[in-house]
Amino acid sequence: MKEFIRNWGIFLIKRIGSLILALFVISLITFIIVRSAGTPVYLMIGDDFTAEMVESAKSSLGLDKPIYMQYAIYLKGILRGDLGVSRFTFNPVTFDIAHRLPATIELAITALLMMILWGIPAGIIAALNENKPIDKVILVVPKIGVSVTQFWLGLLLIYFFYYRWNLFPEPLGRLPFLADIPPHVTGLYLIDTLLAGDTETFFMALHRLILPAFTLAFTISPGTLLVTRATLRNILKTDYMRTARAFGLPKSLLYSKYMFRNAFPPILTVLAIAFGSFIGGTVLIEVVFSWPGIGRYAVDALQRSDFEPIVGLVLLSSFAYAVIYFLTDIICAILDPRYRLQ
Amino acid sequence: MEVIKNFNSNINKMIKSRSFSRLLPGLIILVPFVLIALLAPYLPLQDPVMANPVIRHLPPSFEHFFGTDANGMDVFSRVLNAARLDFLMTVLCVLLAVSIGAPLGAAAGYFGGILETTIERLSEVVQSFPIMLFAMMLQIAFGGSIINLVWVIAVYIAPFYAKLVRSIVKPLRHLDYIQAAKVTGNTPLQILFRHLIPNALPAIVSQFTLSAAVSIRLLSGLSFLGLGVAVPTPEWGSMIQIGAGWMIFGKWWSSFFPGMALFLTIWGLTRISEEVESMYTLKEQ
Repeated sequence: MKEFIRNWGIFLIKRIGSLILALFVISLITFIIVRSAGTPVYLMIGDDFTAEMVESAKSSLGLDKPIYMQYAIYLKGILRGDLGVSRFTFNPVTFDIAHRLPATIELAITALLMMILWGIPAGIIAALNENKPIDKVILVVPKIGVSVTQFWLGLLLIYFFYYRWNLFPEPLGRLPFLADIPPHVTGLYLIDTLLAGDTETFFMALHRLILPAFTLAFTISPGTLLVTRATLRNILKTDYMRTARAFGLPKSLLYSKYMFRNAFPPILTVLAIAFGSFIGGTVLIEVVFSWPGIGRYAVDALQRSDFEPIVGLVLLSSFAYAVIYFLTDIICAILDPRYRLQ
Repeated sequence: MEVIKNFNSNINKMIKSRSFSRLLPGLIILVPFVLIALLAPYLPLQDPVMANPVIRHLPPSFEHFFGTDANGMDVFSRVLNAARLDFLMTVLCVLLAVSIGAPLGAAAGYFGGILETTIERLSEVVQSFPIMLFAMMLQIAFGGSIINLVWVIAVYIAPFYAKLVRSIVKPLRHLDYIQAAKVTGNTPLQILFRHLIPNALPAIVSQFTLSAAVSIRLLSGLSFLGLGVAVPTPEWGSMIQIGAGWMIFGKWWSSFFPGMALFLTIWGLTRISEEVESMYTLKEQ
């Protein structure tokens, strides 16, 4: 028992330490870039200015303080959720992001579900039939998935499924123009419409979600499939599996208890990394499908040279990635004691 | 060490048994593209940056094999000419990534201690950055240019080489020949570059095609967003961008062909990297 607590203690301290360190380094890098990009002082005071105006504008931004104090102020702002004000919408960046985040989350979760539903079963089938024809057929899909570029695949799908066959609606956002937006509960239209009992809008939202989510899932799922296949293949070759088989254990027990349990941590890790990369990694898809999420927000800000939203999004998505990775490590350590001892 | 030995002996075996045929599926696709990239300016093609508003949106025909785009430029000529810039940028990304990552990784493996931890943590942070957003941030901060684009991608890939080189160099540092090099008065830098990094070279080279595939994917994605490459310059990603808005009106050709060129290039690169990867593990099985 003592041993158990000690291992967990060391593991948690190490992991939390590296999480905090990562967040610190991320904020430091963005701070350096923001500061070296120049100051908005002259934008604020216009053409006609005196030295005093420059000084007062600088002190209002805290630029007259020593550089480490400026960083401390910056860090304090981030921790309070203050990411500055957009130079275009004049809203706080946090507000704008909170407004657009649900669209990205909905896309990411749907894509993740698609990845799980395809990648894991296909990986299992491929591993159980290693080097047989069915394995080779399944492996063609991830090969295409890693070679195709997301935005091009999205455009092809739009051409065929919208223009050619008219099976899916036009790629212009989450709901048709002038459609009733469901009352805001979670911001995820699929859930909000069901809560409001509005199945018609639910199917409209779902219909528009499928193509972008599929594009995302198709290009990111190769990792899931290949990791599932490789992990299971290695487990099938282990001595304990051979022994269990020699004892004549029924296949169901063999697979469920001895195979999948051990295969779970690596698969979970690859899924978590994929999900982490979705927050801020859906830019291309959101552009192609006019999806009003944070990626689209970033591109709009880019076109207007609006700095604060992009810096805010960089911080948000790398923080999200670090935290998701941290949580995955914890879950893996609960499932598999070997993780704690590393 | 074991890995390098395996790899070298596998290469020797391959040369002896002439099993380079395993690389053929990838090479058949890649070699023509490289030739196109080299020869494009000397081929009898139409001007790739000549905009002629009279012939906008012409579908593929004998006159314009791949049709014309929204600016009235010949897509066929542009696809072929774009290979040049795309391949040049990809090669630059990979070389730059190696020259950043390899020395850092070697230093981390050789010196160990705080330096190693710092480089490891930095690598993790860099790879957790959302590359697209990060590139946009740099674009606004320092202005957009092809060179900046190459730098961003190189820095993003560099940790990969740092980890690789570190894992190879680390077990070497206590070997006799390194100790001997130290006592005969070699400076740490000489040891790193003359005695340690050469051991990692086969492993580094074997990863070139994989990181080239990653780079060209990122490059095209970023220039699709309008970062780095300005519009009249032929580049596959920005060409797809020109045609993107016309896809819903059924004018598929000006996005389809550059995308297909990208797809084939990345396909060829990943085929080769897969074969090289399996050479690494050949002896284990």
